[in-house]
Amino acid sequence: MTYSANIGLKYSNSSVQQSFTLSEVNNKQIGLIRSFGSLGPNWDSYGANIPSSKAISKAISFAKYLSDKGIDIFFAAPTPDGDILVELTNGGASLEFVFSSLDDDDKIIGSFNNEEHCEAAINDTTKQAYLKWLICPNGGCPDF
Amino acid sequence: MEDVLISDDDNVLRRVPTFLPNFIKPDGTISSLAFSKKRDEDGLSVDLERLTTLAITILDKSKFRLRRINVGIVKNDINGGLDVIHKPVLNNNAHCLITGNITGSKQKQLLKFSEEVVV
Repeated sequence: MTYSANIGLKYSNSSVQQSFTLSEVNNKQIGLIRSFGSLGPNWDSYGANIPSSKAISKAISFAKYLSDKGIDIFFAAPTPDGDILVELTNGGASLEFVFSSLDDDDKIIGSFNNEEHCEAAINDTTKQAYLKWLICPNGGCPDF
Repeated sequence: MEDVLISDDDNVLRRVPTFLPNFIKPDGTISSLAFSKKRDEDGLSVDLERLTTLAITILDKSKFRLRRINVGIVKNDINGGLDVIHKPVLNNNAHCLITGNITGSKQKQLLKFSEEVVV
């Protein structure tokens, strides 16, 4: 199946690309996410937890999923709890995927122009719905 | 330790990691993670500016930047029940907590109303 979204036409600063190839950006981001595993406790100087291997593993799996869809990661960082945040952007819209060290605590936060817009637990349905909201807000998205 | 009253005119300082990890995004903006706390914490740690120096609070210029935010803005503009209380810890009498329900939306507002401090 080929993917030819209507992206890039309306969002000149989009982090979304139109290719299925594993991008250099996501390869670098996967390396960066892996490197969070080497952080020690208190890496933020405020008592942050060591990023959990579970959260790192989930974030890397998601990065590979995004690569399959031709979507580049914009930003990734650990949270003070040891979770991993993966951010995608498209114009003024952004999605923050937070992969938790806890079971069933992963969440997606959608924002527009830096104002929080919506939030949901991550599952296959919400993941696809939020990605569609980001990539093709006016509809016409292919199935992920 | 002395009992410190915090007024709306006070400012507080927060360190932002810039090395590994780096909370500065590729477009130069700062992630709202800079104002996130752990689930089990009573509040977000900051330093009361008048009880410290920038050089002390930043700890290591190669690893952190500083953001400054006014207490009155935290309490009155961002509102939502946020407060700033003095909570000295060992070796840091300037330590304070921003208390209240610091949601993702509040984190973004704290970032929006804060300013970069050149050290």
